Parts: sequence; C-alpha cells; structure tokens
Amino acid sequence: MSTLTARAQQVLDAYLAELALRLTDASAAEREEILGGVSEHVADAVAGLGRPAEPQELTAALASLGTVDQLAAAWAATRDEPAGRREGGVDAVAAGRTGDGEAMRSPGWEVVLAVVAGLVLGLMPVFGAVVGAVVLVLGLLSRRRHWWGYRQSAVAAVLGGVAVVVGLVVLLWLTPASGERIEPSAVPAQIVPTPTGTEG
Amino acid sequence: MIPTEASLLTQLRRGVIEYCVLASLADGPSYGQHIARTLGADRTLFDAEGTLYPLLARLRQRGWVETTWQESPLGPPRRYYALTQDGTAALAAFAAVWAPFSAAVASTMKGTDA
Repeated sequence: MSTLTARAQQVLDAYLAELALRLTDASAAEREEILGGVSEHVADAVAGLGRPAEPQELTAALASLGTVDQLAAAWAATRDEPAGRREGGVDAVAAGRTGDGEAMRSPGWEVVLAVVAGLVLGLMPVFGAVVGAVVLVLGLLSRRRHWWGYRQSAVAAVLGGVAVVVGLVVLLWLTPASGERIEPSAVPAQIVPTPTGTEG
Repeated sequence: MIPTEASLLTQLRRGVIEYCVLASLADGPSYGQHIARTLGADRTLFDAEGTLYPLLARLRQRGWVETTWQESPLGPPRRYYALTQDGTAALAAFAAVWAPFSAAVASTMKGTDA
C-alpha cells in the first residue's frame, strides 16, 4: 500500500527534487543515500496513519525533517570539516585513503589566491577584463544553478570580480579622456592672443 | 558582537554530533527515524531531524557505519545503520578525549551561570 496520496507524493517529490539540487558536491551515490534516508523517514512518520497520508499530514512530517536549506547546510558542514578534526588513527584522511584535498585547505587561502589571481589577470587590461567577466558570470551562474560546489563558485566569482574591476581601472587609466582640457602652455606661442590695448 | 544561542549551538555541534550518532548505535543497529527522534528530542543536538541523513551518508562514506535492510512492521523496509569496527574505534577515541575535555570545560565554567 502506498504511504502517500498522489498529491502528497507530488509535494514530497518537489521537496526531494529541491534537496537534490542543493546537495552540492555530493556524488550520485551520496545524493541517492540522503534522499533515500529522507524518503524512508517520511514513510515511517506517516506509516502509523494506516492509510495514505494527505498533503497536510506530509507537510507536518516535512516540518519535523527541516527545510531543504537546513539539510543542505548540514551536508555542507560535513564537507567543510577540517581534516585535523578527524584524526585519531581511524580516519580515512589521516590514513591517506582519500583524495579529498578540498577539505584539507582553508577556504581563506582559496579566497586570497583568487584575489591575487584576479589582480594578476586584471593587469592585462582588455584580456583580463574579458576573461574576468566570463569567470565572474560562470561563478555567479554556478552558485545559482549548483554546477560547482559553493566554494568553487565563490572563488570563481571573487577571481572574476577582482579581474574585471582591476582590468577596467587599468583600462581607464591608460585611455586619455576625450574631453581633456588643453593647458595654455601646450599651445604654440604664435596663436596665443596678446593684449592690444594701445591700438587705434 | 555577542553570539546568539543558535550560533553557539551550531559551533558546539560541529565535531561532536557525529560521535553522538555513533554513540546512539553503540547498543545495536537502528534506523534513521529512531536515531533522529532519540538525538533530536530536545533540539539541542539537532535543529531538524532531517539533518541526520547527510551526516549518516558521510559516516557511511568514511566506513564508520554500514547499512542493512530490515522489514518494518508498519511500512516499507527500513535501512538499519550499524557501527563498523572503524566506527567503534572512532567512538572509543572520541570518548577518551571527551571525558577529560567536558570535565575541564565544566570545571572552568563553574560559577559562571548567567
């Protein structure tokens, strides 16, 4: 027997679809395991009804589960855990059995590197600004559409943003303004008007 | 800036909650909803029950827990989580550190009740 009515199933499917999108950096297997756990939790929560749960009953079960944001944040927290916290001779990181280098670097360093890279890129005025703009847009789009992880998206956005700003500043500095005033000292002497008060 | 109760709880949970999950399995295998209800009863360890599942996925990835399927008397089959040998060792390592750590914190904080 199904544990949910068709309408309640739609609500759950929408919740799971949104959660799947928010599980950045999760492999397909990890995503499937988390979504499976959540589905089973819901099934257990409404099993006692003895009939398929209606949407409002499902909503109550989802409320105890938490929002998609809360679950996504919990996943992100497990990703960001420093490697040192997992020491003790029993950890895969300490034993060198994982390639999770991302977890071993401080995010602060990534941002610093992104700023430096953006500055270097921006010093190549036109090229730097164009490439920076592309990287910035990709970073922002990735953040919105979850193409890459949160940190990768943020680093790309920082790198691109810095490169665009620096590139534009350098470009403006190298380009003379069109309305630039000509100083009198720069005008040839023969066309400089002289006082003619004694004429006549 | 004075930290809020929520932000303090978030900080304190990190690094501790995964071992609480392992400890909840020390007496034998259990399934997600039961673990969530046990640990999340007073909302101190969990804000929301669903946050358990990303954690369980991570623990399984590390090889600290393993899963089996068992029939449920109420609904669909349940995924049961059990400690592995590595998980048991990790829990023991944490427990050995936690006892003196928590005692030191309690001793230091004594008399500072607001």
